[in-house]
Amino acid sequence: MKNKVIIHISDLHVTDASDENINSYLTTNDVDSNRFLNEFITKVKGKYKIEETIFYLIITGDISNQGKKSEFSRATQYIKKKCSDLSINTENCLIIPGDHDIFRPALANHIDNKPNSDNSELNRVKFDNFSEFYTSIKSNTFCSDKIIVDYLKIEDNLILLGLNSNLNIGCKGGLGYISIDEFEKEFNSLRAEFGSDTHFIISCHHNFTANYENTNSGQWESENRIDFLALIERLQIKLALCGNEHTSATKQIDSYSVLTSDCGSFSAQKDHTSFKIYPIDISSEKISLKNNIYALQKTNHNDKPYFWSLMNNADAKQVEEFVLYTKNIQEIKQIEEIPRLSEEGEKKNINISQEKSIDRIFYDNSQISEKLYQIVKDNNLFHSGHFHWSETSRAHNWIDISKLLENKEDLLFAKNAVVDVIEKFNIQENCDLIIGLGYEGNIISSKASIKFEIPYAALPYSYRYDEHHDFEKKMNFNNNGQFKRVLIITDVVNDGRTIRKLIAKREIEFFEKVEKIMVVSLFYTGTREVNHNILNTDSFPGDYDFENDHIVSNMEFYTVKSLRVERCPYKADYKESCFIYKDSLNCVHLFYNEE
Amino acid sequence: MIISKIETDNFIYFNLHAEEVVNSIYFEDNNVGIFTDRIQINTFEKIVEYLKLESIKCKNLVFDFENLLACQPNLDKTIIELKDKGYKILLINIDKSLCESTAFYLLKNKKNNLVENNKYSKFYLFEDEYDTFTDININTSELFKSEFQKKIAKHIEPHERPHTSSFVYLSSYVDLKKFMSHEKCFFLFSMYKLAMKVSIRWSYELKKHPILICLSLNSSFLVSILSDLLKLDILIFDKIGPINKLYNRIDNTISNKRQYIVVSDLVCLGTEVKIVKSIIEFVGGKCLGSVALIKTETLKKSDIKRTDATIAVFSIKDSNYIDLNYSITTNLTPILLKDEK
Repeated sequence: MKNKVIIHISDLHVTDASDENINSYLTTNDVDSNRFLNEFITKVKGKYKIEETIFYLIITGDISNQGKKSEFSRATQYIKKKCSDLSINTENCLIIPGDHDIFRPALANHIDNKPNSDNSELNRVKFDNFSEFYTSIKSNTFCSDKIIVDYLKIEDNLILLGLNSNLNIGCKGGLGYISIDEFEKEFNSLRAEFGSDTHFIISCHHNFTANYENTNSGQWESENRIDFLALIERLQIKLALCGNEHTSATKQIDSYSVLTSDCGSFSAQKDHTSFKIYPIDISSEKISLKNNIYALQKTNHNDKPYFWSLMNNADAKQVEEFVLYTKNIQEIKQIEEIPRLSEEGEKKNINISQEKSIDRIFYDNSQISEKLYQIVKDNNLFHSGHFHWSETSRAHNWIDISKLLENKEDLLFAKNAVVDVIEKFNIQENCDLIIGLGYEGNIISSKASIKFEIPYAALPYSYRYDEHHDFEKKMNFNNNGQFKRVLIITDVVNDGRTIRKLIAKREIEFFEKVEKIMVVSLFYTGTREVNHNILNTDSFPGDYDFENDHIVSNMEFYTVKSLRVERCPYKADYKESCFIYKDSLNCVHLFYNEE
Repeated sequence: MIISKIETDNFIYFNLHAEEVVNSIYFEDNNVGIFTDRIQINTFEKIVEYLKLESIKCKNLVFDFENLLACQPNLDKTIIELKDKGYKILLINIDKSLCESTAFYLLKNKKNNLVENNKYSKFYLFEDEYDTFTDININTSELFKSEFQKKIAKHIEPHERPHTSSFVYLSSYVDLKKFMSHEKCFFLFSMYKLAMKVSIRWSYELKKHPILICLSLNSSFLVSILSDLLKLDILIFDKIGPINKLYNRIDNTISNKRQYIVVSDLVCLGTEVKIVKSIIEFVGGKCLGSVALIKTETLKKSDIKRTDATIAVFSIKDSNYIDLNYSITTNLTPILLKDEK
């Protein structure tokens, strides 16, 4: 299998050789320019065997110096040479424009002639020469109105996006800018196409953080920058490749997860001259890009005036690699809610009604459900063994929800998933109280309780009441009829006994006056087909074991993901008959103190 | 939802950064936490709507711009519209360049003095320098503490039982769960204040993304909100305090490469915090310290030698414990309550 490697170059500034102030090794003078290119190609070939490597070439703008046709013509020649010598398929090239790729005289001329031109027309005009160049390399059309101008699919779950940050650049320059709404729309469309578990890297010309300039915002419109950073954080984008500053650097912006990688100027004579190569390490457990920085050593020797050398990352104060994803390989720490299967002393006579034939109503957002499931898979959170909550409550599977909530992004996702379920069924409408159940239910309820401005209380799981201080068990709201509709948020629901026990036993006084109880969970681990009524005892099948259960028939249930767990099938003699428990064949975890 | 409103006899106070943070996280889905430094018009419009809905007679408004460096264009217009409706407005802690970039700067009041660090500690949006509103001193820290005391006092109940994890008697129980439910807006403001304190105390360490640890049902809610505000991972220790029963297999939970911050609702004598700190350090992690909404100051500050003392937004201490009817005693000292002193 071939190794995959991204070559990142930027700011070539191919300059007309007749210009007075030349600051690029790449000009319209072929001889000097090809010498410079050969040095680069030799270096890359020396590091990577062409036949064993798939190269991706990304150019983050400022390919020309002034957007002239003559400059682009030579740039086409030079890039094609690179691709040819390194066997890079032009489909594997991602080319995005920089502000120097705008031909400003044409733009000024157009504005003079047609002062009322709309943005779309102005964008077309200013990128006219660039578009021609783009088509000559990529053989397809450059979309001057799009934010995401192109993308490279490196793996099924790794996509590199090219963003045009020049839409606000006019005749007299300007700063980087991305239309937030447009970008989000285009991004979501791609995410829908590639799936929610895909990892995206963005690339753009402008730097939104500074290494050279004395400003934190780089060369980006400061207000747009804040919104842009917030958006890429929300979209969970971990890496942005950029250029523009002519400074090789990596930087993490305070309080954001995204790292930026600027490869420096590829061919600047006076500034720092550098490029980067990112070998891709991709496996089921990790996705990362190594950060290899190559700097041009300018010796001024007659025989060899310059050469490329690999920099030491530690000396350059740059990270060794950009980690986009790591699988959590920690082991089981904690037991999650599983309802008791039976309990002594709570026998009740329950009338069993036939299961009603009604239309199914359930949460059906596969994008969110599958993302939640993906987190479980990625982090190995579904465990097998013997999990044991009491003498009478045992299962052979368990989902480690507390581990699922540890990562701040996964936690935010879980909170947002709960909010999405609530909004989907308009549960917040006329809801009088939200109750978060247990530690995990309490944690995933916070956003809903604040966003919907509904009174909130937390309660322990009903089967763990005895382990809590009296004050922790208090509802803190008396119900004199004002709480008619109550939402319970919890992490896992199995057959719902735990919740029915809360309603019909632990907090019976409060719930007597409640007309409707909505239950929202992250997971349903029971055996029935998910429907909004399945927690109500009047919906149960005839063979249901009602021993120690409570009658409740005013619940509506919605869950993000259904994931069945197997109960321990053995009865009271499980210590002898359950071989997992008896012989410790797998993880045996007791969640209580044996007496 | 307005979280930072504090009403006094003389004015109504709003902390605009706190409002922006909560609005952006919970209503606008901008996941920036406390690190935002720009106020949006829709955040301010919520205050305007709130003033319309509430039957508030006081016309003196104080807008605290602390931690804000920019505002959305036209925000000044919205504030000046409020002025035109008869409100007297005082801006405090407003950045000089922010102030000068708005129409506020056109309003001249001789008491609009630039004090230090390029900030106006007070900037009056009215020109009468003799108005009595200009004579009022506003200490935002004391204002918050006073409001906190007023609100928490309603949720302190007689207890007269031994502490659950330390060998002392408590005269009262501070029911923070009730406070969180019944004072939800102010509770959120308190969480914002706590997050800001953490960001100042551990500004360097936050770059290494320490992990927030929750120990109890109450602290699990606190940790969930602090994760939003500070953008940090969390860890659930199920469960330490008030009834100690640890279910976790901690050896695989704590990483020796990470730093940890223990989050409690109330730190009384710090027993639970010490337990967790010992566990973290035993298995190789580093505990930066602990944070809580409330702590008790059982020692004089001068007698506290350690640097890892708890960060809290409110302290029960020698100056307020009698008013709060909260005391800690042992069998070796007489119980001294308010009436007896």
